[in-house]
Amino acid sequence: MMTTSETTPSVADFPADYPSTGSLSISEDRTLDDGSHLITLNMGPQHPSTHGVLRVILKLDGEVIVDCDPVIGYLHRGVEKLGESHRYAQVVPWTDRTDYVAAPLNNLGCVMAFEKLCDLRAPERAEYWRVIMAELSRIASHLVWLGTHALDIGALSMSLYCFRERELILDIFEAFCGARLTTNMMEIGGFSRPIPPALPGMIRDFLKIFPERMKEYAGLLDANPIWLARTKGVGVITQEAALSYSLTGACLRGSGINYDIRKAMPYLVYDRLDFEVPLGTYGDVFDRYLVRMEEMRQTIKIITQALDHVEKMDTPLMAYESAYVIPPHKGTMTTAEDMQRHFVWVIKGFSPPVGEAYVGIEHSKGELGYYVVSDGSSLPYRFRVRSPDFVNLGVLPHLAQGAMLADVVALIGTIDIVLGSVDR
Amino acid sequence: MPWDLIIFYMLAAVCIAAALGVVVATNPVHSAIFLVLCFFNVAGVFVMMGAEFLAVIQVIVYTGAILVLLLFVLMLVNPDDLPEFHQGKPVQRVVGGLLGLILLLEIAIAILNREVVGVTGTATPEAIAAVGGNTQAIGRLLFSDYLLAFEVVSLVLTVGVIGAIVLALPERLGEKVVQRKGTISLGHARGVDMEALGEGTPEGEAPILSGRGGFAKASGGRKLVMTNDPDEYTGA
Amino acid sequence: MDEPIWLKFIVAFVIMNVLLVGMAYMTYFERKVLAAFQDRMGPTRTGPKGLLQPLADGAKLLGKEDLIPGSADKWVFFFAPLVVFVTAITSVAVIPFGTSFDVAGQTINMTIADLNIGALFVLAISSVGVYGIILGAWASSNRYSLLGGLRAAAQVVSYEIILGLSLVGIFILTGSLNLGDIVAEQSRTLSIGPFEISNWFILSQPLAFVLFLIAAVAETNRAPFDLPEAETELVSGFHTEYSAFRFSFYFLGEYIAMIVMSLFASTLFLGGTDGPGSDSHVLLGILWLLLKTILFLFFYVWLRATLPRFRYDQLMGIAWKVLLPLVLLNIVVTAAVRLAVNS
Repeated sequence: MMTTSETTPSVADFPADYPSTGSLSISEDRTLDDGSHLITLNMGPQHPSTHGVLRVILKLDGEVIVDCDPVIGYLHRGVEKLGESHRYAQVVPWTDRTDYVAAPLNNLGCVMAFEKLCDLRAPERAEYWRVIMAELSRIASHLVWLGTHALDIGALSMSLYCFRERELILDIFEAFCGARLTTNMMEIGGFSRPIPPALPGMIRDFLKIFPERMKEYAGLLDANPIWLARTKGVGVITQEAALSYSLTGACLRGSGINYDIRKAMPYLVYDRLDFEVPLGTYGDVFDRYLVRMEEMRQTIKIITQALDHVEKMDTPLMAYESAYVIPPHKGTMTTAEDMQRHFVWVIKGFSPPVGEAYVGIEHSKGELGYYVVSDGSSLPYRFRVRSPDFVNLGVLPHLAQGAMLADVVALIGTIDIVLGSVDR
Repeated sequence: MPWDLIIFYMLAAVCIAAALGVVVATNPVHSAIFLVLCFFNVAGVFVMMGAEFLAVIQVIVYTGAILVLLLFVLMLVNPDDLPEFHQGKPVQRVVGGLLGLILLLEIAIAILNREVVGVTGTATPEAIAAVGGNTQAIGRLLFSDYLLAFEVVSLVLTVGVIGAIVLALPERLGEKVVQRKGTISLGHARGVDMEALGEGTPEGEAPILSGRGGFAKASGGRKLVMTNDPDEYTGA
Repeated sequence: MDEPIWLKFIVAFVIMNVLLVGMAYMTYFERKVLAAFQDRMGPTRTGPKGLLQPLADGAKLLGKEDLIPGSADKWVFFFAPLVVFVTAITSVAVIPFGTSFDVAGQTINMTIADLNIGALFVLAISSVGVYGIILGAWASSNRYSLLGGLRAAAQVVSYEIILGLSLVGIFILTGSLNLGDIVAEQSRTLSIGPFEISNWFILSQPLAFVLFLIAAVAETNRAPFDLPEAETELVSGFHTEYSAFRFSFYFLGEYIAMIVMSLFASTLFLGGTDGPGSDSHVLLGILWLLLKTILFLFFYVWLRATLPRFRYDQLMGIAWKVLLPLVLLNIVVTAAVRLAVNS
């Protein structure tokens, strides 16, 4: 007769010291075979450099980490469930709150998934503007990463320099859509509001200033022996490990794996733009730093090209011909029909055809995927977010084992997580 | 003169009280703190005797270095693992008491020995002033009369340091990070073939990027491979 | 040493209070300079140009609740911050603020305690200061604090050696451990050809100066050697559990230690009170000393604004593998030169 434990493993089958991730508990200290005593250190969720509310339970042998167990979920808002109880257009603002330092990129992925579901494509001009805003958002996100990463390692001033430049980008966002952080910028079908006339000038000013500021950052960090000592050779991810942990973004490319969705599966107008993808060869913290810095330079190239192109265009911004796009505001204040049509659309939303769609975009942190299933009603049947940071965070225990306590903050920084996105 | 005496008795009293505290305190860290206090007062006594150099060395070496390391160890020890100071084994208590008694007798005999009391040695204030001060006097003694002992002590200490390093040497010292032979591409057939890595480029298949010089400007002693195509990779 | 004891107490009292005010404004100075480095304004609201900010900070800290962790070792927790504060402020006693001057028939000696081993006294006292950190860390019964305390112990013991040995060259050249003698030696003017230069030890001991500077930053636990309190790793390290005025004793101690170290460095390497007109006017000498001290304090802030933090093993590696051989080399070279000149 078969017992239950032979078919399905139960908790009792595992010894108390079963070595698996997630086995650490803060209450127990452990003694090694050679008699040395391990300290358990609970890092977070209230800790200055876990980038929000990440909790990491560490087992320390002196300053060397023996075991590391990230605990997440302190910022779980149930975005996926919320997505299933809101109409399609209402889901987009929720994505702002996942990775809150790169809201336009989140919006982009979400609306592209909905558009794919409806078999709808935004006009060309809107796609160029989407590229510009997404790439600006990528710079903003990388600036937050650089500032906090440098601050974790102790370079105090970098954080303020980075946030100074990020402010310029947020000003552009504010001019474009009225909000700075939770932008809710992208709409299904394009952009319903006109582009402010001052906007191209603001972006060009930023493009002029930013490369100079990038040189300042590089001068402060690249030439600094302490920075090099803290980043070179720390947190090495081999190509095999990067693939097996299914990392994406700079964590993958820093290890020398050529995978950038903008190149591999081009979306929007990226196939028309000339830019290069940087790859590292060592796969350590410094390579990922260099990759992200180079990505910012390439992003400047992308924005310049897109802006040059889009400024000459005078085509519509919104695909009004589609039935799944909110009708124009034009007559809502004057004609009863327009007002009613608009009212009904807002209240009832639209119902895409039955089906499913997955769109993965190259987020600043990796592959951001949105998977949406429609049952033909005006609410998504299933709304799933594949957040890059959640997947990338999985590599932390692998990196932390054998590293020193001070490296943990460098490792958390180099993975570039935002807890809003990890917990969703 | 009475001021000197008062200060001396104050120092001596605190010193003895602290020494008692070292023995009586149940918590080893408290004992160490009492020992610091005791050493400080001994340094004070040295100052009273005009041996400022010795006093400062006492503070730097004993309180500043040795006791810090002692505390270092005590802080790492789990309080539960410590021996209970008051409940030693009967043998320990008897032997400890005996040894203490013998030490007390020795000191008492030394004090009561009339020949030592009141006899001035060679290090009179005049003799010290003649060589320029107490620092110079100690230096001269150390490097002339006691040179051999001095050198032997330094040799022993060097041996101790080397021994400690050998014992504490970590098994792996500064693993060097090696550069990967090449980059791979997820879009290219060869790129995902992990077996081929590090064994050079397979016959008839040249790495797409090699020779194109697709590198970013070196920064911090590193170069990045710049690719323009998702199928690109560099060979070995 | 003819002055009566009460006069010594008055001088000591004045210097101590000046030091405390100096410490308060050191925080203001740091915040303003750091703000300038980081493209910010710094404190501006409290008083004109934010000048009353240090007083507001002090009042705030006095008014805060004094929290003691339940599992803390109360007595050790109480007196550990005092150790840091008292040792920091004691070492200023041997710094010569000038020679002496006569007021109302009394000779006022500008050194509070003119010890013949003054330089060693500063080292000894600063090595005791680490007890405040270690004991405070241990008494908090917090693991972050404990790690901070361990780091502090290892760091201070290592860099203490560098600090002490970097001064040996000066002792060889001066032939004295007395800070007054060292200043007097530097006040001499050397004539090299047509040039007349001061005999400041920064010129004859440049390597020792650099090593001393590094060790002094490490000894005062300041960036990039601020590992014991590394706020991004150890959440303030040894004083994580301290609050209110007990915390401010640590704060006071750290800043006073910085000021004393700067005074010490100015005295040892930059001629102390030596400068144009300092022979005739005592106050001018003090002014020169203060200017040199501010230079060093600026250097402290500059480092903090620019450099990332070392890792623990790198910190120790630098001390034992780089700095120690260099400092020994400096001693050997200095001694050889001295021997050659003498014979």
